[in-house]
Amino acid sequence: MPVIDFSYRDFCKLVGKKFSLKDLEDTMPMMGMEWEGVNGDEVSVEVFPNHPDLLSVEGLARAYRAFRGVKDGLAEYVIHESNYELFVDDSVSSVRPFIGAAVVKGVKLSVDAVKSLMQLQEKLHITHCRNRLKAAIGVHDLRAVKFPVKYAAVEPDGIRFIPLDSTKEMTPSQVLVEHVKGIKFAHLVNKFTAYPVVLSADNDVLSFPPIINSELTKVRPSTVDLFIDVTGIDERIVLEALNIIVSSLLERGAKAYSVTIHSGKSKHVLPDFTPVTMNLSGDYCRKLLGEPIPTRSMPVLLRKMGFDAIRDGEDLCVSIPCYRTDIMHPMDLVEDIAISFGYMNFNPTLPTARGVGKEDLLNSRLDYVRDVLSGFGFIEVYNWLLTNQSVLFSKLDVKVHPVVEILQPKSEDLTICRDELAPQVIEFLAKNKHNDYPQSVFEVGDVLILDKEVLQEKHLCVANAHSHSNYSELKAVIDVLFAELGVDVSVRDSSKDYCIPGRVAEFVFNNSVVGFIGELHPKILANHDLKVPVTVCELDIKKLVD
Amino acid sequence: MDYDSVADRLHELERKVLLALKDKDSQTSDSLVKTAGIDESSVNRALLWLSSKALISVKEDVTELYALDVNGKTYVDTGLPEKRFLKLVSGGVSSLDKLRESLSKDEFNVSIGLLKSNKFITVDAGVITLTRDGESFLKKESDDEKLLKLLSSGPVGFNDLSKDLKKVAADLVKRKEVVKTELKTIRTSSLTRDGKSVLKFVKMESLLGQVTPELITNGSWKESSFRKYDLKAPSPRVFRGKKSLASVMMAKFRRIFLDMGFTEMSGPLLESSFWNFDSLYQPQGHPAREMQDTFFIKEPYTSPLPSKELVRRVAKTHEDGWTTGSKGWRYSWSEDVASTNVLRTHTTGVSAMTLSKLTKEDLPSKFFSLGTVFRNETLDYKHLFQFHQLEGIIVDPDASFRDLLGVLKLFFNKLGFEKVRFRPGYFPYTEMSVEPEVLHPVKKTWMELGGAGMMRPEVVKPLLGFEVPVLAWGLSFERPLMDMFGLKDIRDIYSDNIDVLRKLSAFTRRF
Repeated sequence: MPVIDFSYRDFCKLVGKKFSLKDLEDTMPMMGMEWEGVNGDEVSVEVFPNHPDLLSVEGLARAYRAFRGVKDGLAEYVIHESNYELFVDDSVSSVRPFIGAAVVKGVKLSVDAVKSLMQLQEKLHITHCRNRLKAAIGVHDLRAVKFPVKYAAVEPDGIRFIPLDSTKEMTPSQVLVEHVKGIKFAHLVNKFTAYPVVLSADNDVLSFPPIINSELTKVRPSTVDLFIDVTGIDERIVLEALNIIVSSLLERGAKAYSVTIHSGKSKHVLPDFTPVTMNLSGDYCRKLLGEPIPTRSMPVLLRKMGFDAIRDGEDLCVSIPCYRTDIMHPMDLVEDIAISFGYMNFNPTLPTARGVGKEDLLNSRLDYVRDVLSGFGFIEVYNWLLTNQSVLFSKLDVKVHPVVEILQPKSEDLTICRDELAPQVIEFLAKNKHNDYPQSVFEVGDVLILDKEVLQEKHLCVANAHSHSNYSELKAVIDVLFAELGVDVSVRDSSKDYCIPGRVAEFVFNNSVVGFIGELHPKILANHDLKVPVTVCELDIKKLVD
Repeated sequence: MDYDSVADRLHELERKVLLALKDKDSQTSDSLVKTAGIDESSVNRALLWLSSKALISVKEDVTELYALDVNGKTYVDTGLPEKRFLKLVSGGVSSLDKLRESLSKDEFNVSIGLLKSNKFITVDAGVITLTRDGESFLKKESDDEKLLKLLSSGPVGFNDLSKDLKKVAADLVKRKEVVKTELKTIRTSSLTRDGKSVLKFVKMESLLGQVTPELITNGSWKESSFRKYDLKAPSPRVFRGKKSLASVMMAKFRRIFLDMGFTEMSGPLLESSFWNFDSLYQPQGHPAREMQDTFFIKEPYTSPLPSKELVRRVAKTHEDGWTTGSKGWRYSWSEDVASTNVLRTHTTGVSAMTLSKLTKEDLPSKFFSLGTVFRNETLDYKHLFQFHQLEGIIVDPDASFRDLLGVLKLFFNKLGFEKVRFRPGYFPYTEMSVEPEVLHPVKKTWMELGGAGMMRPEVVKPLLGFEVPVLAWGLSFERPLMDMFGLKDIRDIYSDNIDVLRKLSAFTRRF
């Protein structure tokens, strides 16, 4: 989840009232953020991924201002009408079809403001924009932008410009192999035959989305007016990102001007801050929450969360600000009412539904098996479901066979799922060769067997390691286990890659093989650098306790 | 010191060693083996016990010993190679080639060099002649042979050798594996003042030790007295068999929910993304579905999806909200993405499967499970890639958010945490989402122990076919264990070190 760092001083200025750090620390978690800590003037909070509107100090301050009653209800933003125009060329329709834009003037780019703008852009890119795949944001110095702006796709080498933080003129395809950002994000465009660019009226490249802006429009300390473009493949995400970034800048007292986007025959004026409305019934809210909150206090609770609401009897009509992208269902509004009311102000009650507890008998039966073995002095171990070829096959001289495999494993130790327990139990003994003997261990665990489909089985593995461990010693224990479980299991000759021939048997129950028992072959012991004899038994225990 | 009482509790080995030291200033361990009449390890044990009671003082000296090495042991029987060489020459063999055949290469080279430099032989055009010196050397026992003979009955200290033998020993060490040096610690023990006083009370007659069947039946205990034990002596280390801490605690956690009237549910570890993500209204392309958190499966890559109707409802809900009253996630849902297999990242998929099988007649119902889940994280002292989740749902037309808080509070109270608080949280499948926290009874800090919430209509309606309040939670199993058992490293719960497991006790007074 994204962590936002901001200046406490800047935050208070944006809220419009000074609150103590303690107040922030106590309040923010109850608003749905996680308090990470304070370092001097810098505060860190973690924000939930469904709240892109809180990815900046401006957004946090806006929410706090309403929550703590400095000014509740919908934040008021004005978009000034203007003649700025942007033309979308058909060529982008198969590449990166959507664009949103805005002009923001009179931005006071203080150190805090620049830091916050960069942080917001970066965090939006990572989360809301899915690493620039769904949308990407470009921020430009308005001075270098000539209108009308054009959004078009060009040949990979069809145009030249100096990318940001570079001194060399490059074509888009050169950017993808030579520029740091180009290399990092090349995968987003290199399947296309034409690349999207935002162009000034005199055909200067402003940006090559979603890769990089042009050096031409670089934001400098002297910058006061901005042109913002957001391009992408998901129109909703594009417009939401535009609204979030513009509304943040307005929080610092800047002025927003509209841009008219011409796309084919249609045209729309952006940014569009019109609130969405949603109906909510007071009864529905009370039933979900269980707390007797009167409908008439709900508008107040909603205003505390930055909404506006008009009440008509038991019904509410709620206005949702443009940046609250998380509200999909009336239930989302109910949650905001609950947060506004305060989770700690609820009276916890117990549901009236009665029930008679019913356990999964397998679990309690397996617990009995554990009791039998621990009674014999065996200690229970847990190994992971994930292991690797060395443990499962090569160190045991077992032929490689199909098992469930992990896609793109992060560690070479964890690449496949075990299909029997014994290999890791033997590995466990190998890891403990310097600890005191005797070592008598068992494991009850899941294995995944890859046949035509994946079979999940519950197995038991029992192993004995000490200077005179042998077949009959362990077999005696297993016989008692069978007797305890009341199962009639027969024994017959068998073979196992890692056991001594003639000293390994399989167990047969209801005409099917349910496991084996045998002494490990000395060559396998040597593979594991084990210096004592080891006897091991594995059973398909679910079949025996069912 | 109560000498009498100390004397009474001496072990038989201690008595033997004390008596052996009587009237002597000091003795080495080797000589104690003889005078006390017990083996070396018994002497060592007795010395350890006695010195810990300050009845004797033990002085340790490290000396260098000479001992026979592999070849040296052979030469004791076969003779030194240079002697064998000379014998062959004096027996009439004079060709170098013949001699080469009779000795190993090493032996031949050493012999010829040594014999030539000592002028015991002369070599002329491949023919060897014995000199007069050589003849006399052959006849008498050399210092080398004397040393080998001496060492054949055991290692000898450097200082115990005569001046001549010291010299040859130094030479023989240089030859290949004939004589080697060893370091040996020699313990010399003597009685302390307390030791001497205790000794006065040590009884000469033998005391009864272990009670044996013979002793009981033959009545010999009537004539003798029992040796008193040193009751404070450390006991030998033994290990008990035991269930894992995790298994013991799983049974306890399950008990709590069974007592509260819940039915236990279970499901597979490997499932399709459909159950792990899509049925829980997690949009395709959601960061949580991406590689860093989830173990996707290469083989088998996909699983079949459930019934067409259920898939249709879930797909519609993602795309436009279906009939749930939601806007949906507004994207084009893919069956292929939903079919890909994962190791389940939570047991909430098990709740989804359970919900999909319920009918109106089954309500209200309560379910729980305690199952294994997987996250593609790096193992460290507070993260596991495989752990357990305590999952629960209450499906009840009359249930509310307030009831959810009540159930969570009751559970944590039963677990021994008195103070519980609730913070807003976020999960894609619940709304109200809540993160319950408990106050650590000792550290007095708040600990987050999982997540909970009311299932979103976008989850409930596609699965059940109708809307009903569903209270749900997924709580951490290992985190509270760390706190209850004071573990600093979460990996200790599933340690691969048998000593850690042997020491880990599952006893708790908390609940």
